[in-house]
Amino acid sequence: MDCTLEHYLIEGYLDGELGFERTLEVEAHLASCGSCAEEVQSWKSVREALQKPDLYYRAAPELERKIRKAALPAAAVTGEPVPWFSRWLWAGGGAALATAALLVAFFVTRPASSIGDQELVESHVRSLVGDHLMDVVSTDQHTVKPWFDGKLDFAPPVRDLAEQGYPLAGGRLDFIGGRTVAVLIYHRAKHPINLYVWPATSGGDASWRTETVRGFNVISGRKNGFEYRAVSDLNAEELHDFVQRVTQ
Amino acid sequence: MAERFEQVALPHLDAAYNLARWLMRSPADAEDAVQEAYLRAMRFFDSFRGGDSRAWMLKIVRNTCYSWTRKKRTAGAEEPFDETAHTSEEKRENAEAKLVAQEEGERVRKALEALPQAFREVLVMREIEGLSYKEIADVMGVPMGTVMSSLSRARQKMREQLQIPARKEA
Repeated sequence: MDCTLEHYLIEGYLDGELGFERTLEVEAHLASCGSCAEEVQSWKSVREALQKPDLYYRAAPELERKIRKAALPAAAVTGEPVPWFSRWLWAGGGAALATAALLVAFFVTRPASSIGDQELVESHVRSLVGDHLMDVVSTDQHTVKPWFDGKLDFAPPVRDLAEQGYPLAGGRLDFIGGRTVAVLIYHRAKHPINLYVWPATSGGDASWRTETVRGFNVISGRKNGFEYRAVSDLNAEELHDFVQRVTQ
Repeated sequence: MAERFEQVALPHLDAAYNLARWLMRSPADAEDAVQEAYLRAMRFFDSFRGGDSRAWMLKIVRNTCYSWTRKKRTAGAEEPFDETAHTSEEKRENAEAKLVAQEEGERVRKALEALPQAFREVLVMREIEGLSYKEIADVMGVPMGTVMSSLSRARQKMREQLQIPARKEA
């Protein structure tokens, strides 16, 4: 059976992360597609294996007693001395927090030097699962643009195109090709458009190139020092029109 | 404040220990890390703005575990696997479990322990602890898309390890 249901939708369904409408869509698909239903069953077996009660380590009562003794008096009296190892750790606490986040980001991101269409489409599909599409929801470019401040090492150009029929819906961060990129979300009728933006490493504008990957249109190009990728299920012609306008 | 801390943080002690136990190599290290994390949580308690207290607590636990393992690594002396602590604890835990379920459980435990840390932790948080994508993203400090892709790859690995068949490809 040739099945096109994205695996992120299957897993999103399994994890209860799809919205109401998409859950119904996936359920309807599962009712008619034996292959996908089999896949859901397979993931459920993995889950059952992991949910065996003896894989959950519970804290010993002794540990709770120790914590009450150590942490709670420290709360009552400010400035209470804490053990030396604790103080040693405080010093590096903030840095450790940041580095840990970075480390994980590094290890779970595939080291890719260039950003492939395949990866963009994967990110686009993931963004459609649940409410993951936007981290900041606003149709106002003056709200969306400052939201990126301090989260990125560059300031992405943000333009609202409501009057041209492509209203801005919001923005989010994503990790693509081993780097953090800005994603701006626009709509055309019912079609969401993900516009990926990051600084270009080579100079000069590059003309727009359109590819179709798994039924999604991907338009790539470089303009005014930024790399742009637009991904949507919108038809190629309108998506091209959108890209022209948004990068003007 | 101590009372509020008690209400907010202590109910997550099992969740905290479970995560630490899967991230650290021995029960003793896990206990130390959890204790340290609670001391930190107490100190950072001002920064807790309400909301998801479990994700907040687990974030501190995870950071504590990571800084401990990194500290050991940068010290150059990778600590040898604590065979005695590990096996004696395992013996104790094993004795409590029934024999048949135990063999299957052991197989899954070994498979999960063998996964790279980045994969193991998302599986523990999603499948064992039952956290949502958003909560895992908060704990790890990464975008939700990253959680979804690493969870997906972790599941693939786990399924291979457990030799659970995938769907048949056409």
